[in-house]
Amino acid sequence: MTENVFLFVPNIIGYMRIVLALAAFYFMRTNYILTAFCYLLSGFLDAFDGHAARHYNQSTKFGAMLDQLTDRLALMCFCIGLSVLYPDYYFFFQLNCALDIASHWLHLHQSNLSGRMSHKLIDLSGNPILRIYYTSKPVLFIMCCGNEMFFGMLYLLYFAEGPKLLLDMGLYRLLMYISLPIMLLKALISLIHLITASKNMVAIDMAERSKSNVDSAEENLM
Amino acid sequence: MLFFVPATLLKMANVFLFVPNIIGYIRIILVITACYHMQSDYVTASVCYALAVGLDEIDGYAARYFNQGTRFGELLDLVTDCCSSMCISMGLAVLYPDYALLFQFYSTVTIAGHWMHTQRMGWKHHKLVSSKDNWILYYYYNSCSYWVMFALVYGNEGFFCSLYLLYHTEGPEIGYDVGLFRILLYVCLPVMLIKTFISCIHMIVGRKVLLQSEESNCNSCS
Repeated sequence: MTENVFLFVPNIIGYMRIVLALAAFYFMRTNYILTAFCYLLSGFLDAFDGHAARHYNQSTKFGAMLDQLTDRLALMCFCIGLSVLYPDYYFFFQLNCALDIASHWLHLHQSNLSGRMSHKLIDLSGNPILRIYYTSKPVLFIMCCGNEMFFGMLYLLYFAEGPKLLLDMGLYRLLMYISLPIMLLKALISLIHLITASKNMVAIDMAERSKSNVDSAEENLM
Repeated sequence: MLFFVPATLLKMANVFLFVPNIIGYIRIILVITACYHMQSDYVTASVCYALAVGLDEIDGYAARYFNQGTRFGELLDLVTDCCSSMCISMGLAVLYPDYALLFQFYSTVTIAGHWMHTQRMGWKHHKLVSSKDNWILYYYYNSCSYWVMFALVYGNEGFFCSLYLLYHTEGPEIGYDVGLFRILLYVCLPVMLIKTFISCIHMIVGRKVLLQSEESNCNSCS
């Protein structure tokens, strides 16, 4: 039985997400409605590829990597586009993307390595606040959506204020202020992940180094 | 469950304070400083970035000289390189907004390629590509000439630095009525293209290997 992993449903959703994101970046300076639609739809589909993977029993390493990379790189490219629109704030976008990419990269690498170690590592789910973040699907959904929404609204605000609904404020500005604390909280959590992943990698390094010291000491004794 | 263990933290401080890792932190601070000054003070930005790139050579030597090579240090180095490429791309997109798509493409391919490569290599050092691997990557990492690697890395950085400097000045005139930075730009352009091509190869090979490892898992299950 050879299944074609390329054509698994969640991976096809993954490809659609990429195509939508590419369309968004292409039209970013010329057609803001199309860009916003494509980018937000791409982000929205992120919720479905996980469900599809479990429903069809098609979870794969390839799919997980595709999903993770699409998230990171779509946000990065969107922020590059935002830097062009808001050149005075480019430094904030640089810091945000660097933190996002570095924290996820180190965390992923460390968890791959730690699978081979019996060494006890820092388990963040021990922290009650972070446990809610990891285990509660609604919380995770709100965090990811809120983060994407912040950048999406920043983009829309360049072109329009949005329909006035509450507090005599345009919808886009209102949503931007609501999602701002979520974006900041997600950045804080990324920073915590970065520090923890670094500590865990160092713990793995130390275990390896002390083991090789023990080995070479035993050789010297013989 | 504890968030962190103070005694372990003290012991870990040894690895965090290894010479190559300290050089790594200095590099990060230099890149952040360069980014901060990127739109306002091009001389400071260029000097800081050039120092950061120069230190990249030294941390490798330090790791070998002091026998302080660690997985943490290696990943820190790689992630710093990729994130600084991304930050430079973002800053350049602000200066050359018509080419934003190209900068998005370059940073996406660079990060995706290295990310997939580190996941594929997993436990092994990212430069230990074997001869059974893709021949292009094998030659890239094992080429007999140290100077080829040197030229590729510094030529690539040289391209983006020249592009940045050219926004502000043509540089000292070097014969034929052409400034130094423009000459550097054209000399480094093919190197940047080769390095981008290598990143694409990383992506393609990484993707195929992940799919192959999925399929072999499937075959062994049935």
